[in-house]
Amino acid sequence: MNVSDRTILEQIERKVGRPVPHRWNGERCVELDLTAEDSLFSGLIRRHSPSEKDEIMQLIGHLTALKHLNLRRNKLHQLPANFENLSELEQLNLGSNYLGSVPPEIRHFQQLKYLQLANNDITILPEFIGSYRQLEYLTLHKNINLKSVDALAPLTSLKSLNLYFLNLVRLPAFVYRFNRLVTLTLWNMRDFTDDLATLGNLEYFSVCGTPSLRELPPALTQLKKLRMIRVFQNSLDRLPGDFGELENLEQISLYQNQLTQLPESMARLQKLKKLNLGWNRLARLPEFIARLPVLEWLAVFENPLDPAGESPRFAPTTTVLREWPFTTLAVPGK
Amino acid sequence: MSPQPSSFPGQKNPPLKAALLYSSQHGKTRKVVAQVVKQLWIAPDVFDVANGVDHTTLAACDLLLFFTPTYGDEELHEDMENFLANFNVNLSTRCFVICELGNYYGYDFAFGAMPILRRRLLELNGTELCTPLSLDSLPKLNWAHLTRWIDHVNQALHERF
Ligand SMILES: Cc1cc2nc3c(=O)[nH]c(=O)nc-3n(C[C@H](O)[C@H](O)[C@H](O)COP(=O)(O)O)c2cc1C
Repeated sequence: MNVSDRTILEQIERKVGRPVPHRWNGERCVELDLTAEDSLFSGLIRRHSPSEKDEIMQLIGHLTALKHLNLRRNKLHQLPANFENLSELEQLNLGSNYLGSVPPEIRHFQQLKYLQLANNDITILPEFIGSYRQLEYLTLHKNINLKSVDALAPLTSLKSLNLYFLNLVRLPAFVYRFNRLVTLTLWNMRDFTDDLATLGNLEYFSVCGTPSLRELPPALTQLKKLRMIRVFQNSLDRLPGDFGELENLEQISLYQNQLTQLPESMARLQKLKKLNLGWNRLARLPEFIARLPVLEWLAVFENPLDPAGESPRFAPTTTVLREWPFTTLAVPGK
Repeated sequence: MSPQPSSFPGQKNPPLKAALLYSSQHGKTRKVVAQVVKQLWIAPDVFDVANGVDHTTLAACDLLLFFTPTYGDEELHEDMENFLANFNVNLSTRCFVICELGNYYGYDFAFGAMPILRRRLLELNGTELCTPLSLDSLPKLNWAHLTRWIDHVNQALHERF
């Protein structure tokens, strides 16, 4: 098809039925975004018919200079064969499209730095995913039947990896070698090894939804760059004694665990702004919490706090959530 | 002191027409709805939106109560989305109430089914009766949290109708 990108974009917008955010480099369309917050279900063609979706996707397949393409939340179910022409893509968001597999059409996209494949009913990762040597950001969350991520082993450039809500039980050993990781998101995962300490660049770490996780991995407190830890919905009944050595922590979510006390070392968390202790088993709050100098937000709802016990006096700049709010929409400081 | 739900006059018999619409994939929302119906001051007609709902019936209601899980990746459950995509009733003289099920309180930002539903119901000129509920339901559901909210709904009903 020997038609200009401008003509193709006009056709796309006509079929989508509204303007589609995009960016030009000269006469070439280099960015296209089919997801918008002002659209009720986000995906601009989510409610289009399968044949309309196919026509639009065929047109997109002709925009061969695209570097960024966001197709999130469009329930596409499939990609057209000419999608393979988009091999200049550096950022591709295919989240929530129920594709059933990692689409073979993206096999040769060697420029990819960012790839979003969440919520696509993916059950197997193909070998070719390991060939994206430039890939820095990969999210595979919500592919609940994905049992193995072994094909990711060669992706040593990754800085961000999201494996939330998959069907894994142990973290594969090769992930401990991804020492550039800044963000790691896990779910229902236990038996961490001391090799966790090699992930010294981690700033954001989540491991949630693990009913058998009663203790945090001891090596965690060696990850001194950590700024945020989300370890909610596990069965943690204690925190490591040296937890407070994570002095760069700004946010901690311990919501829905079994904690009865907090280690005194947490008094050293001088940068901590948000602390979620909701739905635990704390009978009293230690004094030091009130002395954390920059604490803005503290949730303690749904703990058996002794009403007769002394409660620390918090600074007026700290919002303390003692009652469980009905919605996170209404939570101040969020 | 505010009146307790059990002391409301005309319990289960107010001059109010209400419908409760829900969707459910694995049954938790259905269980929640069963509990709500027991504890609510009014007796709404209950519809699983997967079975189709006559919109003219809904247009005759003073109050619509919505219960839906969040699915996908912070999206509306499919049945509720299909219902909502075709729901065009003018709600200007009507109130609505929303409860979403999912995982909310471990995070520090708001997302999920409720903001989507709420936005559409406000676009249709509905009035939100009271604070909606984000109910954590996976793996555990805190029934006391639900009970407190139903009391809150009963209180709002009492004040408005
Ligand atoms: C595949 C799957 C995806 C889910 N996605 C979300 C989500 O994105 N956000 C959320 O808050 N809860 C999510 N949940 C949690 C459900 O909303 C929760 O389990 C709910 O109780 C299901 O209700 P039901 O049993 O009536 O279908 C998800 C659950 C499943 C099984």
